Amino acid sequence: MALGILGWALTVPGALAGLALPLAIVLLSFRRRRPQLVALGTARLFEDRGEAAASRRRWRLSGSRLWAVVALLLGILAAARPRPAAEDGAAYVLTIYVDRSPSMFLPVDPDAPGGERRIERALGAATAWLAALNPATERAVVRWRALEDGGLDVTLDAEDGCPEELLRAPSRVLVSPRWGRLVAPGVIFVTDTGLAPSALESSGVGLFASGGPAVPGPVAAGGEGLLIWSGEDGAPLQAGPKGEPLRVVFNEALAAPLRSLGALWAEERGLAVGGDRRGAALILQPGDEATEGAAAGRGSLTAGRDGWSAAIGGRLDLRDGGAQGWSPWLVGEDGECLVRARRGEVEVGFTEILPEPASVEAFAVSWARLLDEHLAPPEVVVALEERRAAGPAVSHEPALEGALEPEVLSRRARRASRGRMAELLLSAGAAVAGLLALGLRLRGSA
Amino acid sequence: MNGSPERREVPPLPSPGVELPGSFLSRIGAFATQLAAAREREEVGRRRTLQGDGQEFVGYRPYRPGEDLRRFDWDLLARLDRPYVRVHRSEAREDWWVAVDASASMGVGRPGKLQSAAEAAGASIAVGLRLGARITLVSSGGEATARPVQLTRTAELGRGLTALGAMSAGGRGGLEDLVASRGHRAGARGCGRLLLFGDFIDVDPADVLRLLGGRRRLHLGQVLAPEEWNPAIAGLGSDGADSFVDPESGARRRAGDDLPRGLERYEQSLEAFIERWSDLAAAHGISHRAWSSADAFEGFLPDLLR
Repeated sequence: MALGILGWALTVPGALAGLALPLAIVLLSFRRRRPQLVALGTARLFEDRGEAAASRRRWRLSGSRLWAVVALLLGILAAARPRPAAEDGAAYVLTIYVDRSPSMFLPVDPDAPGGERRIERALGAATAWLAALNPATERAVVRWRALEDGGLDVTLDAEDGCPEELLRAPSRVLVSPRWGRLVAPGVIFVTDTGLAPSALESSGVGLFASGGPAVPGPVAAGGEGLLIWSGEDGAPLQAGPKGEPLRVVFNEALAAPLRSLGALWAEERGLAVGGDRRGAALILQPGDEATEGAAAGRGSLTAGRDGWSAAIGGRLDLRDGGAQGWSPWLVGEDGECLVRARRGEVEVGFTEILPEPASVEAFAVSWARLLDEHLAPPEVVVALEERRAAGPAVSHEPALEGALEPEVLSRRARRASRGRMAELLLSAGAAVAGLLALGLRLRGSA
Repeated sequence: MNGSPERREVPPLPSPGVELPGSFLSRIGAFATQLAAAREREEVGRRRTLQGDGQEFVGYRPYRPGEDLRRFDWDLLARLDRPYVRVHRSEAREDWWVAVDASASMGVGRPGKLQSAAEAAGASIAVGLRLGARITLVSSGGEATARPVQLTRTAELGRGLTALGAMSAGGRGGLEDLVASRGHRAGARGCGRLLLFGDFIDVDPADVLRLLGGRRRLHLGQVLAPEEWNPAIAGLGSDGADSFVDPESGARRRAGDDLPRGLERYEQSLEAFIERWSDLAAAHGISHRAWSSADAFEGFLPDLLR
């Protein structure tokens, strides 16, 4: 903690304890000295040079002591490492990465399913720490980032709290972040599982982890119903009560190969096909009819992925692939999105597709994987890995030194330079005063 | 004197006493022998201050105005057209009056001033007894009242040294008490040679001049301690000594903040003080020497007794 004096701050205020030394010298000078006498028969030949002055004052700070005090004062000030006081306060740029994997939306208390969730607890700890920053000296701006493609990325002042959007579950299942590639000065992780403390210390990142016990519950859903995890590692999964099987809907306008593939995939998974769109675990549907102008410019094309290729015709319009959680899955050579998907939905931008005969198997596996990935089980289903215990809560503040704004760093460097100059001048002054004191001492002017 | 010096108790004197070891007797014996032999080697006619007006004719010397015309040699005046007087070795016993200042100020110095004065007085007494003089040894000040000591024979030198060795510096009465006192002056009356040993700090020159008269010779031995010659060697300028004290009056003088300047003025005052006595002695035919108590008497005493 720096001590401010007249626009300057002492970065090592503990050095001021050394002031006791010159103070002691001054106080000793107040001590009425017993005169040291030299008996001289010729004493009367001495002019009395100091008697009157001595009677007027009780103490005397001799020249050498005065300069010694000056030298000590200057030396102590130099040792206190003066720096120009910061007028602007520090401005830190923090980046908070928020883990929004399914585990973050599990309740902290498994017995209170509607109670506080892990994400709320972890974000609460982070915002509490931000609120505790001193706006005068630790002003901070925070970049809130949701760890998902196209997720939230907003910068707020520290006192503004966290965006509410972070508390809403994402539209699709996210995997747990790879924190290692995000380590940087001023980074804070908000998650549920604590990282290794030694890694935190060495990297300087902050961590606010909610922790939490294992949360039993459904971990998978299929045609036979839900599979329930008891919360104990190694325990066999229990089949839940039988209910209606998951249902998928395949639009009638889909290309025939896709419809037949979908039917086979649903049958293999034990899924019901057809019915109302609402409540469906997956909808496979074509896009909108292409406008006349757009359709005129589109012809057949060949596209493929995962080792298959197919002739595609009957192009349809697909909206921006990245909007509202959509992710492009199949893209044409001109970069046009042909298939996009999001949790519970797959949209196809054509009405005709004819896979190459040689790649029919790869075609089937590739599309089956697409449907598997975007099959939306009931919200109560959370992967077993996500339901495991997250350990104790962790609150580790980040190292702020590395998170300063570049401009602030520049100003600090200038201040440090001026401070070093002041240190140098003080040290030189102390040395000169010390030499003067020594010289006077050696001359005998005590 | 500037300011109003305050009176306080006096610190212990560094060298209040006199110590004359057994070897001192042989030392002054050798000194007296050497001084007598040297005088014997001096040519006839040279001024010989230790010679009186006895019957043994030893030569001539130029006439000085005011001298007794009965000693005037008219034959030489007629032959050389220059005035000369006849010089005889004193065959009558001469009386010497040896006074030693034993006041407190004589206890200053290492070695002490009283020690140096006693050694010089003892050597002078040895010379005087060797020349057949009758010696009266007196002292002023001192811790105890000392009666005059009469010495008439060389064999009594030891008694004189004992008296000197018993002296102890103390009190305020210095040589001034001896020269200003009618009683003491009466004791010195009739003595052909008066030897005064002390620092002469408190002595009124007028009182000294009153001791002159007739053919009486006056010898002023002025001893000062090394630190009186140079107070800087007394440790001034360190954390300690910054004041001087008069051991007799207890008056203190501070050196002041500007010590070098204070010492410079002291040296000027001391030089003027010594010169005043030296000029006084020269003007009145008085023998005067000033020395440091660290000096051996063999160095200055021959000149003082000349």
